[in-house]
Amino acid sequence: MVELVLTSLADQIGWTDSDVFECPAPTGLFLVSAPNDIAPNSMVEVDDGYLCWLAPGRCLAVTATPPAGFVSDVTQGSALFVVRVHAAELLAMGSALPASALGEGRCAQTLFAGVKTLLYRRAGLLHIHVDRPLAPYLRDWLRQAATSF
Amino acid sequence: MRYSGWQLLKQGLRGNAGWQPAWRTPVLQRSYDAIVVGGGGHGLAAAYYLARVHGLKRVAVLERGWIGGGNTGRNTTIVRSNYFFAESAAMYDFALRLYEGLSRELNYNIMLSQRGVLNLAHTEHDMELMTRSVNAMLLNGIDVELLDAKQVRDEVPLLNFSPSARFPIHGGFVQRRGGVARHDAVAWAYARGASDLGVDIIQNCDVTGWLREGSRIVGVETSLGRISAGVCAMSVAGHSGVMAEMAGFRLPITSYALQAMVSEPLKPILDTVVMSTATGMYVSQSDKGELVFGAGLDLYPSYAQRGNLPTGQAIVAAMLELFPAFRRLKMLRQWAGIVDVCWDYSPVIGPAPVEGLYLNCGWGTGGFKATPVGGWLLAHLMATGQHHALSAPFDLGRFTSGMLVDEAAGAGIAH
Amino acid sequence: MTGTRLGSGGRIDRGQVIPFRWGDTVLQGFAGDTLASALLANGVRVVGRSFKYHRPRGIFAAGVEEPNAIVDVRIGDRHDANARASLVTLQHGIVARPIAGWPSVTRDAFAALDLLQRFLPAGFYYKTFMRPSWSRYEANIRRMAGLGRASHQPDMRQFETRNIQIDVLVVGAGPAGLAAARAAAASGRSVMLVDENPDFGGSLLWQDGTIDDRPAADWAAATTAELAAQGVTLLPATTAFGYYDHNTLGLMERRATAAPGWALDRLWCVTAGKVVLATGSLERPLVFPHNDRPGVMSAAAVLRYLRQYAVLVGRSVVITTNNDSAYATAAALRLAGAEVAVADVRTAPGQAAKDATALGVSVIPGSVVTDTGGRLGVRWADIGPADATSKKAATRRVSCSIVACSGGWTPVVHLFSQSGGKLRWDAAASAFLPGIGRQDHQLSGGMNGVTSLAECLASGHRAGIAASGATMLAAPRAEPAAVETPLQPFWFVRIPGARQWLDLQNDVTVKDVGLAARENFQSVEHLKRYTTLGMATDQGKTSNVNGIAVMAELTGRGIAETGTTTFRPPYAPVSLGGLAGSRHGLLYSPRRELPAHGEHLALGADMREYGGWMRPACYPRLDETTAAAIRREASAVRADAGLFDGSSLGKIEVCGPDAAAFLNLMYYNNVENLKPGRLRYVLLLREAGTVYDDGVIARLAADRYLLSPSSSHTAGVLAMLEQWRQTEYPAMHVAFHDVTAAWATFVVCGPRVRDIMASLAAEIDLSDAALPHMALADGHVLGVPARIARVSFTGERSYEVSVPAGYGPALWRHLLAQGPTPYGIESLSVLRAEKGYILIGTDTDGLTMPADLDMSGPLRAKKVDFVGRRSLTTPDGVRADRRQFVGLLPQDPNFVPPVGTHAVDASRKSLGWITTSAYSPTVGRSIALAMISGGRARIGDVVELFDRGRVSQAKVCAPVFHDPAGEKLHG
Repeated sequence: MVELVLTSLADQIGWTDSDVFECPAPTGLFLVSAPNDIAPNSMVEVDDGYLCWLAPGRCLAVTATPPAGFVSDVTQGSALFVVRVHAAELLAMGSALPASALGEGRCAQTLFAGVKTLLYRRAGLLHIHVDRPLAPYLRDWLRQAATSF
Repeated sequence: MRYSGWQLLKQGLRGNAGWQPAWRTPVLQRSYDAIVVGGGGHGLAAAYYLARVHGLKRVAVLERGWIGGGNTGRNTTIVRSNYFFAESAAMYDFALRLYEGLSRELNYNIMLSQRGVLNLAHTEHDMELMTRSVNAMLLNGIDVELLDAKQVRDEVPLLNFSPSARFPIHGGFVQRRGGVARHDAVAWAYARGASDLGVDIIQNCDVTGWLREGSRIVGVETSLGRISAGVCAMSVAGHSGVMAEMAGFRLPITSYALQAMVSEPLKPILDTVVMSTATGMYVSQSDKGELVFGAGLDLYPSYAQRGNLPTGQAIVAAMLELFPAFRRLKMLRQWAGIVDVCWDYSPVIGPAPVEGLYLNCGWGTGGFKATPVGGWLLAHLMATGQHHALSAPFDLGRFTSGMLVDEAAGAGIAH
Repeated sequence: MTGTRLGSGGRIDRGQVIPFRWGDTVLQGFAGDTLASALLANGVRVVGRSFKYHRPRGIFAAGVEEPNAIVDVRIGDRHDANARASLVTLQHGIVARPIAGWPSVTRDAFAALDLLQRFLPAGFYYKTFMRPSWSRYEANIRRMAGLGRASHQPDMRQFETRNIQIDVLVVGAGPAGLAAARAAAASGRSVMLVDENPDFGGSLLWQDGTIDDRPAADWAAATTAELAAQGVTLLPATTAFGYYDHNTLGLMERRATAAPGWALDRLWCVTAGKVVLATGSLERPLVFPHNDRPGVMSAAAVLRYLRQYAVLVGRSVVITTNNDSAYATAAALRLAGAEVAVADVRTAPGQAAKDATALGVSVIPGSVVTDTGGRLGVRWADIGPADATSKKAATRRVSCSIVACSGGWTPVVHLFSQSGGKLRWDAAASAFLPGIGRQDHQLSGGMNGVTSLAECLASGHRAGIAASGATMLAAPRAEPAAVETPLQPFWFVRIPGARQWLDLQNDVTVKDVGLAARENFQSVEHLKRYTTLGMATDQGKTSNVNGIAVMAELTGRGIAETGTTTFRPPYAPVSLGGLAGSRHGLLYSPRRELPAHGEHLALGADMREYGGWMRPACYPRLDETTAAAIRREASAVRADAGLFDGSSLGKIEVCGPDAAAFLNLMYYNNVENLKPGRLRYVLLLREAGTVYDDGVIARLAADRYLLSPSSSHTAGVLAMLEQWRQTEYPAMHVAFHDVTAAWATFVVCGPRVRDIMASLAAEIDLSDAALPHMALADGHVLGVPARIARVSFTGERSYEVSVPAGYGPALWRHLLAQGPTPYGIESLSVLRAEKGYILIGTDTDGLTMPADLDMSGPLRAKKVDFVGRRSLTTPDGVRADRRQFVGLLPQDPNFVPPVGTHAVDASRKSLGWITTSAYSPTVGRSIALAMISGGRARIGDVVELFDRGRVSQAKVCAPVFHDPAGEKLHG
């Protein structure tokens, strides 16, 4: 039987090695609405990944398997950009979010480059989640901004 | 004293010492036939028409600050009547026709420049909506013309026709009789005309409450004392909600800051008023050479008459996206007014829910173009106690009957 | 004579010569010059013309307050049509030219207007130009107005924006600002220091003084270096132009260099924990007759040009002043070898005058300049009694090339006022000073009325501490100020006759203020608007206070009572491109791309924007017109099979024990009785009862639904659901997930669709029994999770196949390989029009109610309340003549009337309009859908159509043209 092949985000947007960002493919991304005690705008480590607070009773699970609750699989719907260099400058160019809002274990939903994103730092790198249909736009914005350095 | 080139010559030879006050500073009386609260364009026009059309002798305009200091002095000076619904078209075109004769009638150059107002279409769907609007206007007797992309380009070559334009221009429609007028001059012209007819214009008079006899409003409480009146009206854009609350009723109005800005003055570069629903912007060039433009509201209710930087940036971006050559220019001044927005983007004109008081409010972002008709209709209401045919559709009761005049829907704005 | 460069001194680098063009001539300056200082050094006197009278204008000041030297500057491909010469850093390649005067700035044909000046007072244009109408005069007036000539070329540069949060923002790097930043930095907080000049130090760069036993300029340089070493963010050549709410300020930086393709202007949006305002003060002119000639300059500016740029503006100078500060200029000029006379309004000018006299300066107490002469620049000045009231007063004429004037100092309180602070007139200081402030800021130095260097340093230090916390650092020390003789307010010369200028750029004189007062334009705002005082590009920095003072006197009020106008951003003109930043071109607002976007491009699709998504309008083949492509695609769907990308349709998952009850409250239709596995077409109304959106609801389980709003309304529907749940029904347990982006959805439909579906090897029962029309099922296709729904927007048997978005391209390729015809939105629109299916926002507008669409059935069947229900029964909701959704068959079957054509009655009153119009390949003729007043009752009638004067006829019919019974859904 023929099986459908998966088009990665990197292939979709034509990622190249010279880009200022990476496009990793998380094994799983899930919108979860369920009671939780995650502190607002913070991230929590779990066995197979981490959870990002989005709203009271809502989080984004970046995990291999979906947690319990009302879960929607958005693995294919959320594009993840990881900024390789000039993260502080790009953040300052794209968003009014204070750098302090993205300290250790912190995350924030905010406008970046004019679109709704989820931002956090992980392993010292700036992570940007955006709706996948907006990925080409964000790619263009980041590439454009990078030419200023 | 009549204004004319001869008068300038005559007075010039006398050292300009002979000019008379444009409006009197009268002694405040304790009672009037009619009191108009609000010395902006609409209020002054109402007072003028009360005196001239209805012959009222004892009329006062009470203004909290300096006349014309509210939205009349803060708008982007566009005049047009290219509205969708017959009720709106009739009303705004009545205003435009009054504007066309206003300099003559008031012997004051309001600098009406009927250079055309061009609305841009950026998609096929926009063109379809515009065709609908253009036909509606033509059937209502409004002079408009649908243009294709080439005609728009011939009209305003500076527009963004580049392949990388975010909002390609498919065409548009133009009202040739639309244009701009000098906003301060409109206020001062009506003030002078009204004053010459005996209207008392009282500045620095803050209305702090309404006087009642039973449930009827019979005057006002002010910072200069009590004044009684046969009939009262409020024409206080930006403060209608506050004044209504003083009288014990609520209005379906939300007040927002609307920013406007001007560039440094330039030699003539833009000869038409241009508006675009894609970015929400409108721009024209004043006779002094400044580009005058605006776009969307600061989206939080406010009486502050000051917007904030993010919206200011968005407005500039909205205008520049249609005129990329202007990116090199500089902003010289930025300010804001308070716009009273009704749900259907049409004004409220008519009796208040309280006897003895008439309303002229809710003009949102479009009050300046209607200054003459707002005044005309308010005067009619105050003098006769009845709606004019033009004001009836805008009565406050439409929010109960559902008979809204939804100009936002008319413009294709989903809201 | 005129200006010259001294052989030594100044902060310029004589080793770096910079040639530049001024008009037709090539001149020279040095690194460190501004364009203004270089022009003065070259003896250039006339740089422009005044706005109304076209009188010659020379450089007046040395900074942002310069009113006259507005020039056209090009450097490479950069162009500023209205550059302020005192702010232009001289650099290689500058091409500058005057913007006024024809044929030249020194020989201007329009100078004749000055002869008519008495007939052109303030506001003269309101009193004439009425006959026959303003339009007769406007074009010429416009041509004479305006300053520079803007370029018509689009500007392709990128503009950078930076957002930054900082603990302490210090605005102004003069003595107070440097002291404040130094104290704040010592606290360990994050600090930013900004100044509009390329070098920090402010007046320390050109005024005498010693700080901590060092020359003041050295202290400034050393302190700047220390601040840099401590990690303070330093922004020179940056104007803080706006102070907004929440301690947010806008700064516009004018960088010296930028990456290729990037503009030098860079916007900073700064949110500060605390702000320290140290913006200093600007000298205001002393007003006297004919004070507008080239050569009349600010005394402080003369000193600055001498000290900072080594430019001696003239060798014979008359100074006219009412305060001590001008004596520093007198002394410095004398030491540079100029002849100097000082006319001091005060009868007992005090120690400063004595010291100047000792240097050989001639001081005349109790006097003022009462007139000047010289056609293209000052050649003489008359000095007479300060209290003179007639032309007959005794005066003495002094030959001079410069009249330097000083009327006092105006604190720069603009940002304070913008932030919401109130100003108060302080008579002792003869200045508007900050009163009650509204935001979290500290005030220091000249802007707060402090005048001496020692006090500026101390106040700056205190402000820095107040903004950041205590520090052990001691305040910088300077010698206490010498005792000053107080300023004597002097607003204008009392001799009638000659004009005395207040606003040099807009030609507003004391007489104009008198006229405004006489005509009752007495409030400060009326004064400004009537005379245009302060409305030029210098924004009244040197004219506002003088104008207010004159108005106060002429109307018998105090200055405090007269008041001042409100200050608004920007403090100085700032780049529009800089404000817009990256928000232009394709980055102006985002467009969304479909998962299979690349596939559509590969097929040559005509991609257009619909509701923020790039979608295929159709797939024209080589040499095929759009119309032909649409007909071919539509025909293929009806005859064979079609393939459509529906991935942009909204998908909102709704889950919770109260999901059914909540959705029932929201939607027009009953969704509670929808069975799991079934779909229902629904409407979502606004509270006004009008249709906001339509779509399909799928019930997945007892507590789970999937909503399909239209692609352009998904965000709005989600927002509406969230708002109602959060604010009106917070106790209901239901949540919403927008999963639109997570799925790719393709529609296959047409007679041959079953063969195509079979190729999917779906582990889903696709039989009609298991999956009837308006049903859905989950499973797998081709090895990946999938959902298949039977729902049709074309009227053909139709399946929507959804897979996770990443599999979209592959699924599209697989389906395409089965041979269906790809069709786009325009083709779909024809197909759905043939069936009379509505398109929200096309067939409906913001006024359409369900009954207008003949969809009253669900209302009758629904017992509970829902959003908009009440409005359906208002008088407007039940009007008999409401516009109703019908079909139209144009009389000429080949004529396709444009969308927007109106139907009219016999008296040419509109009955409604055409909302959809197309040539139908299926029925072989033109068809249209319309909203017509009382439409359903008119079925069978012929109506007249009107489109911009062209008239035609059409028959009203039911809004369906093909397969009215819907048999093909099951075909």
